[in-house]
Parts: sequence; structure tokens; C-alpha cells
Amino acid sequence: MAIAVVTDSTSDLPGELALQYGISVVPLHVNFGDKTYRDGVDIEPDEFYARLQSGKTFPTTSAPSSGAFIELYQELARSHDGIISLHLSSKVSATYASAAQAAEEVREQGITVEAVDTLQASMALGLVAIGVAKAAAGGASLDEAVDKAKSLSSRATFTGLVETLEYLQKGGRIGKAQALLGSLLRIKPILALVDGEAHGIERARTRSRGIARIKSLVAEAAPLEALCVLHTTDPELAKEIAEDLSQYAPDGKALAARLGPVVGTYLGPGMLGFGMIRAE
Amino acid sequence: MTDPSDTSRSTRRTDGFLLRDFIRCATRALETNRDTLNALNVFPVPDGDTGTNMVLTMRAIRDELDRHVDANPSITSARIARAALLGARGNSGLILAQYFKGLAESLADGYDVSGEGFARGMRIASEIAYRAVPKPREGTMLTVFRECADASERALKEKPGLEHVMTVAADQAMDTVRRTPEMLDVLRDAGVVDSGGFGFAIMLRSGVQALRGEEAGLELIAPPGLSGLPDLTPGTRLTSIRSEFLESIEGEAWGYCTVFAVEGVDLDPESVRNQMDALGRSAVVAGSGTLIKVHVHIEDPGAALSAGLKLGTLSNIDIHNMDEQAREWASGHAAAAGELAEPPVQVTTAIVCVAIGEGFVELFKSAGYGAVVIVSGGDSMNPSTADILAAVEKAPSDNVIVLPNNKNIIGTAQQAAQLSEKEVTVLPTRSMQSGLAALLEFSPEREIEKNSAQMEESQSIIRSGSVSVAIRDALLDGVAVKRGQYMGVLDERLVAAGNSSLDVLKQMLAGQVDEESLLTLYSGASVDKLALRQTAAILAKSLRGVEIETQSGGQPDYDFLLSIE
Repeated sequence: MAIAVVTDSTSDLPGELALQYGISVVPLHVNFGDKTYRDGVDIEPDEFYARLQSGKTFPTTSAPSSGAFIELYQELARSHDGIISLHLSSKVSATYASAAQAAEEVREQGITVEAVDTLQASMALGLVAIGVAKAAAGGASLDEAVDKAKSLSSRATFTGLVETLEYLQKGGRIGKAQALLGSLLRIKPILALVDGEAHGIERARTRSRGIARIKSLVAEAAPLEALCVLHTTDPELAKEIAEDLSQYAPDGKALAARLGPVVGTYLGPGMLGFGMIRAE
Repeated sequence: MTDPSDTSRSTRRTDGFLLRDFIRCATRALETNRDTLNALNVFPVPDGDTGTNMVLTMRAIRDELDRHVDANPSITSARIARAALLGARGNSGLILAQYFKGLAESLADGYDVSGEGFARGMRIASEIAYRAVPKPREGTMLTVFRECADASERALKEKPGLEHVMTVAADQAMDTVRRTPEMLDVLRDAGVVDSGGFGFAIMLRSGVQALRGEEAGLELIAPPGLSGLPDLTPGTRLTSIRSEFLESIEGEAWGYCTVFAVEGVDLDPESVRNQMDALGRSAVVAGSGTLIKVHVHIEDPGAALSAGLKLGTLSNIDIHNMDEQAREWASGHAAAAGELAEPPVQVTTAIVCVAIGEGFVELFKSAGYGAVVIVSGGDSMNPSTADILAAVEKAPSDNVIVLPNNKNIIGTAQQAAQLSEKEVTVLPTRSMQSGLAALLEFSPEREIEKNSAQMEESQSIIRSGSVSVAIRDALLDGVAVKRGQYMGVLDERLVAAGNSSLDVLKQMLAGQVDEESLLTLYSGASVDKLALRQTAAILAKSLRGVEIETQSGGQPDYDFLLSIE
């Protein structure tokens, strides 16, 4: 029996890829007023971003309960030797803590789960999960899978050009990106998750220059092991950028994906960016 | 609590000790979670002291029981109620005292420390707490008390044991707290739950743990339902109050929080409550007969004390200025947010830039991550080599990039660079606008070579222009301008002349910008903000699609400076 790979919905892993690689995805929750939605299950991105822009109530997000993980782990344990559970940076969410607690609880039932804090988000996490799933399919042991996950995570990057820092600030996740607010001039910030926290890494004066900068950040990081272009509300533009960057993708094809509601809550409409893993 | 499994038993002569254990656990639980409770406190006054008030109230009770505890629970609970009333601090402390009063009445009525006794006490507490406040509001501790009373009575019918009833009540308390923002707008606006109610829920939970013989009161408990909060890592919690809310309370006047006890004869809390409610806000009056406790928020604490003096002897007087507290609390939250946001100030590269005009100086400072030294100077006031050299020496790194921001200052800057021992690169910025564009690419943590390459690229892309009044007739670059007329210069070439600055701006920008462009207009010292906004609005119409940003530059000599990116 092989090992099972679990991640959470902040990986923004497109459904077909999760299915293809046999990755189980546990949803976080988005709360709009008194309604709670499961990320990517109960609320469609189109509807979500429209409501986010209407700006009446600002959504909040919450981690899955340990119970949700326990149920999944028990289910997977019936057909797997061990489970690796890969999660969003513990510095911005309690998801990893919840998974780790669940792993601890099922241990008594003889179920082995390794929860890994990847310090990543969105498709940077998603690409790590895919890499680990490939290794698992190739017969990797749980220990080997954990090593693989750590190696991939350390080489992964999640970066995005945002229209405004407003959403990050409203959501209380502004972290070290706040420094960019110091500027009195209008700017388009480029953010990255560094050591698991949001940092402002660049400032562009216009969106088009920001996009050019995003592309050059990918070019500078090449050679790559995996690449996925990300957006919240610009599917066509994301596809175009993915084509432009395909030369840097290992098999000549860069993925494109949309940020789900949880990560989207903090980056807002108009975000463009990428998740990537540098080659070893 | 020697035999925690035996919790459904009826009267025991040692239940006074059980009550003491509850008090100890609850006090410890509040002490553990005090900071969280303080941070949540926005109602009735956002002064961040609910946790502290509840802790102090509980300590007063605990200390009293440490001095003496009677095995008889009804005697002990009466002591608890009196100590709570005397020691009550703040609104939350006084309402908490109502809980202990309810418990004491229940036990005095012959109930034991049992599921029944607890439920009865909870019901009495809820009723007297609502009466202690002139205008009871839902979404506060009052609601938590009432729903706990309902839940305890329901639980009693399922299974009578104390542990079961308290467990159900504790769970209900957390659930009610979770829903408080739906009931009280100020909580919803601030993005928090009711602080006092949460404190009470924490107390009940610690009581259940104590009953089960578990280690009680040592865990940090996340406020329920704040989907933001449980999902945050510890330490970031304090920044969770919405910034709009912090700003909105800055100007509010709260007056003095005035608390005192009155000892007299035949005291009527009802009439004192009405009196205090007329004098101030958030009045809570508790007690009866020979002892009552008053809490009121009031502009003139003397008025409340005088009213109290007419009734009897005053004691336990505590007055503090809530305006100061509220300000401190708000700025504390804001500072916490700021501290977290500070970048690690690891300056690898520093900047010296020449600038003139108040607005420009601010812009350069704000864009420079605190690693910028400004040298005052410009067209009509070129700084000396010594001025620039002094700034380079002062800059917070051995690697310094100089932005001269004027074509006439580039040479001076290069001389200063040669004279310094530091590694100095002069980026030949020819205008303040291009200097700013360069500075936006700057990162203090990056090495000087990378910084200067990226900054150079950025400043070379932008186009700079100016509008000023001609001081003499001239024919330049094929454009004729008369003395006193406005002239427009773009990329250092005279391109337009006219009788108004707006006319010149229109001429010089026609055909130079499109939807992709960002036009930034910096108004000079002679142009006020209104004129700047009007100019931008008119330009936006004539240059359809272009994005325009306006800034008060405050520069002398030029009515407008502009950049096209």
C-alpha cells in the first residue's frame, strides 16, 4: 500500500489536478457575515470576488477543525500505509496546527500521519503537493515523502502583484508588507511569502510595469522544476502570461490557476502572480 | 474535589471548600487570558481593562477565602458575594458580582452545590444582573447569563449531575459569546466578541475542568467565532481590532469611570440606579439593604460621589480617566500593528537625495524605508559638495546611492562621491520626479549594485516636465514665450507657451499620453490643493483614459512639475 497525500484548499490546486494525482483537499472556511462557506466547495470564485468587490461585509476565514482532518485520516488509513498532510504556512493560519493536532489524536489508533508546515500558500503549496504525490506514486516511503516535501517547500515561492494592500490589511495578514504603505505615492505592490509571512518585495508604479516585473522574477529564478501562473479575476491575462513564461517551465508548459476564496480574501481582485519551484 | 467522579452527590458539609477551589481556578483562568480579554474590550468603553477588572474582582474574592473559608457552602457563598460586591472593578466586575449574589441566594434557599443549585443560582443571577443595569443591552454578559440559565435548566432535565449541568452551561456560554457580534453593533464593527461575557465563559470552563479533576485555568483560550482570531497565530492577536474602529473612537469623550460602595441603612438600589443613570452613562448599581456598589461613567465624578454621600458612608472609591485609557488602548493597538509591520531594519544600501519643497521631502522620506538622508536644494539653491558629502557620511550604510535630482547638481554629487571613503554611486537623476521613480525601486536590504541597476532603469523610463512663469522673452526649440507667460518644458525642451498653466499643460500633454500612462502632477508652493485637484479633473477630461495622480510637491519656482510613466 502506498502513502496518501493530503493538503488544504489554500493550495488552490485545480480539481482535475487533485484528482489526477490522488491528492485529498480539506477545505478552509470563508465567513461572509453570518454565512460560512467551505472554500472551493460551497462558493464559486466568480460569486465570491463579486461580493468581495461590493465591499459590504468583509469576509473572514477560518481553519478546518481537527475533526475534519481526523475523519479524513481515518478514511485514508483504510487503504494506505501512512499519510502526509501538507499545509499552509502556520504563520498566517491555524490550519497546520489543526492538522498536527489531528495527527496526534489518530496516532493512538495506529494511524501514522506526518503533518508538514510548508510555510507556503496557494499553488506554491499546490506544486509541493503534486511533487510529493508523484514521489508517493513512485513508491516513496513516508520518510522519503517528508524529505521530498521539505526540499520542495524550501525551493518554492508564492509571489503576486496586487492592486491594493487594502485586502491584506483588512484581513489582518499584512505582516511585513506594511512597509510598502509608507509610500505616499500610488503604487502596485508585489508581495511574496518569505519565511511563511507576507512581505512586500517590490513596488511598481503601474500595473503593466508590475506584470513585466512579475515575469522577470520568474526568468531570474529559472531553471524551474514547476511553474503555475495565478490570478483572481483575470483568466485570459493569466493564460497569456503563462504562455509567455512557458519557456521557463520544465516541460514547456506553465500551469494557470485561480486563487480560491481563502487566499483571494487577502490579495483581492486584480491579483496576478505565480507559484513556482526552483530546480534543485 | 477529592473524588471528582462523585459530582452528582447532594449536600456535603465540605462544599465550601469546593467553592473555594472554583474561585481559585476561575481566577487563574482569567489571569491567564487577561490580555486577550483586555484586547477585546470595546463596550461600553473601549478602554481595554475588562480582563484586568475581572481578575481584580476575582482576586478580591480569592483573598477573602484565603483568609477564611467555611465548610458550609451557604456561609461561604455569602462571603463570596459580599467580597465580590466590595471588590468589584468596572462594569464587568460589578455584573460578575451579580453572578455570585445569585449563587449565594440559591444556596441560602437551601439548594446544594449541585446541578440544581447551579441552575437556580444562574437564573437568579441573570434576573438581578438585568435589573442592575438601567438599560440592559443584548450581546453582553447579561445575555450570556440568561442563556446559561436557560441551558442549565434544560440540562437539569436531561441529567441532574453538577458536572453535566456546568458542562452544558459552559458550552452555552462560549456559544453565546460567539454570537454577541450579531447582537451588538459596536462589537461587529470592531470585529470582536463581548469581552466580559467571554471572561465569564472562561470561568465556567475552568470550573468544569476543576470538577473533572483536570488542570484548570492554564490554557490560552481563543475567543469563539472570531474566525479571524482562532486562525491567527499568537502574538498577532492584538492587531485584530479593525483599524477603522480604532480611528473612529479617537475623538470620543468618555469621562471618568467612577466606582464606590455605599454603606447605610435601607438603601434602595432602584432609586440610586435611576439617579446615577440621570447623571452619567453605563450605570450599574448592585447590592441592597446596607451595602450597595455603584459604577458609572460620568464627566463629573464629584456629582456621583455627592449623591452617594447623602445615602451613607462611602468606601472602595476608584476613579479613573477613561479618555486617557481609551486613547492609550487605541494607540497601543495601533502601535502593536505598527511594530509587527516594521521591516527588519537591515540597511545594506542607503540613499542621499537632494530635494526641495515640503511635499517632495515627505515623498522621498516615505518612499525610502527610513534609509534616506535629504539634502535641501534645487534649481535656485544648489547644494555644495560639502553639503552632499556630509549627508553621505551621515547615511546609515557604507554603501550609498546619491540622487542629485537636478542636472546642475550631478557634478557636485560626483565630486562628493570621490571625496568619501564610502562606496558611493551617483545615479544621474535630472529631476525630482525621476528621482522618486528611481527611489520606488529601492530596497534597503539589497546590495548597492542591484539597487542602482534597477533604479537606473526605472528613472530612465520616466519623462519629466514642468510648468513655470517665464522671467524674460525667449525663443527656444522653436517656441516663442513672452515674459510673464507660462511655459511648458518636457524632457528639457520648451514645448508650449500660454496665458494659463492649464492651457500650457493641455498643450504639452496632447499626444504624449495614452491609457497606459500614469501622469503625476506635483503642485508648487504657489498652487493650493483645490487648484491642483481642479487642474487634474480638467486634464482627465481632455486626456481621456490617462490615469492621473496628484501630489502637493511644494516646490518653489514651478507651478507644476509632472512625470509621465
